[in-house]
Amino acid sequence: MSLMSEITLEYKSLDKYYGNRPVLHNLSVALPAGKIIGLLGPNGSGKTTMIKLACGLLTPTHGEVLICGKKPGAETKSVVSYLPERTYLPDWMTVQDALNYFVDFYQDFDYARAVKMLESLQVPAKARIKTLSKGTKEKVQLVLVMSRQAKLYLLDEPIGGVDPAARDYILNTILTNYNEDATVLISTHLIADIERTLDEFIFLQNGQIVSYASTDSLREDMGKSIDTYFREVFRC
Amino acid sequence: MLAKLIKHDFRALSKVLVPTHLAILAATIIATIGIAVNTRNSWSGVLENSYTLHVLETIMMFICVLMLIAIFASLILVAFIIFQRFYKSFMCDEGYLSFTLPVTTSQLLWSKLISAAAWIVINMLVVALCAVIFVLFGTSSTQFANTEFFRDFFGFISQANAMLGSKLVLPTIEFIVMMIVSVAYNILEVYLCLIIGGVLSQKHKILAAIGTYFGINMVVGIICSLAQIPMVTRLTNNYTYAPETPMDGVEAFDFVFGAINPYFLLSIGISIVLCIAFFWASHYLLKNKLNLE
Repeated sequence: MSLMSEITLEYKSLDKYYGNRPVLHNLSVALPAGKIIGLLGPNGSGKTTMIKLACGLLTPTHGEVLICGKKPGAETKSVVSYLPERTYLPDWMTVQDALNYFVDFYQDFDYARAVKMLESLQVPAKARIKTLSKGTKEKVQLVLVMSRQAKLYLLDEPIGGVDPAARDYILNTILTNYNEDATVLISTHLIADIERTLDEFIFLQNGQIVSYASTDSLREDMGKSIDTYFREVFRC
Repeated sequence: MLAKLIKHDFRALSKVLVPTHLAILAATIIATIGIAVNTRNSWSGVLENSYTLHVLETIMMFICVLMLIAIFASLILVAFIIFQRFYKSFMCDEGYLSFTLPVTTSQLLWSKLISAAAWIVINMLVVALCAVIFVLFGTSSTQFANTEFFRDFFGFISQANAMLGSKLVLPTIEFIVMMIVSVAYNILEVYLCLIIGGVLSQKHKILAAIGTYFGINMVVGIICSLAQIPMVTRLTNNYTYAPETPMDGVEAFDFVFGAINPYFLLSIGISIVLCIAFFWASHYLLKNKLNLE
């Protein structure tokens, strides 16, 4: 699929202020369908804000954000699968309750796939969310999010809290489970771990895009990995 | 989608509120039995010469009082649970789940309002049932059940109905509307305060919410007093002197209802306007201003 194909997520000269503090400034970028894109940048560069805007959790101060050409709302939320960095499942629920919840609200939720993934991660379906470890909670949430046939996946630090073995499984899960026409936007610091899965990457600094390129072109033209390039660009 | 939201919200509240209400009923039954045993004992004079029974009676009485306190405390607990659920699912981490569901913000609010109102109505019915149980079985010293109170009550209703008949329809409807509106008003007011608290402060959300609650109540109090001034003037002008000729029941009813009704309608009107304002403000803030931590 070419880069000029259908646009899944687009930011148009977007500003976001928290009070008087600018977090994103004149941000414009269009992300195509069918790509896995890394959203990379130092702490406080505005990665989470960018993702929250696309989920409709925040509204832009100026400019707009469009998902498949539409402003965030009930309609876009039905095609966006979002994994926040928080554990957002109510703690009184069991894993099974959470599955039923997703079945009820998301028409694109693949129940059989979710059950299979939970089994291979050895998460007990009857356990209460409250009793699970932080890493296991993250696994459950990732399974829920990746079991949807969404058009856009927004994954905010999906592998931060889990052990390296589970990390590999999760990255494979993302690679093998996402819909071919879907866009996956992954924010993370753990560039080395995630590098091989990325088609493209965005470097974000102080609320502005420093670089947006394909992983292949970086490798071919400059002979660098994203990790090395990142260390150069964001040298402290 | 609204139906699904209500289903899940109602179920989430039920997890805690069903056991709470079962406990209220159990406490009522225990207190009723305790008081029934005590009244029968003192009535029959068995206790006068028995020290053990006397101690037993004191303990019983003590338990009954505790039970009654527990019942009243549970009413506050019910309100607390309802608002805590709202706070958790909108203002805390669960908000990431609630606000990314494929539903509109107003559907989310309606669902929270309807599920809370349903539980408050259930709570009122359970408390009424408790009162009936207590009066029926806890207040008679000679019979198993005391039906006298209920006979009097229904006697009064049928008498009033015979005398006033269709005149009672309007007040009854107004009373029911008033109840519904005031339940919605109280829920929406606290919801709005919790939202404002969350928008104003990241660290002291609850404190900010409490401050807002007092602020809103003060403003509403002032608005209501101002709105009532013309009515009070009219009331004092028209009703300073009671009619000199003695009134029969129907005339007395017309006189009192005529005096009270404008007040009643005004306060229903103000409450409805405020409910709409609270809902609108909550909707606006959730959609545009909320930034989950």
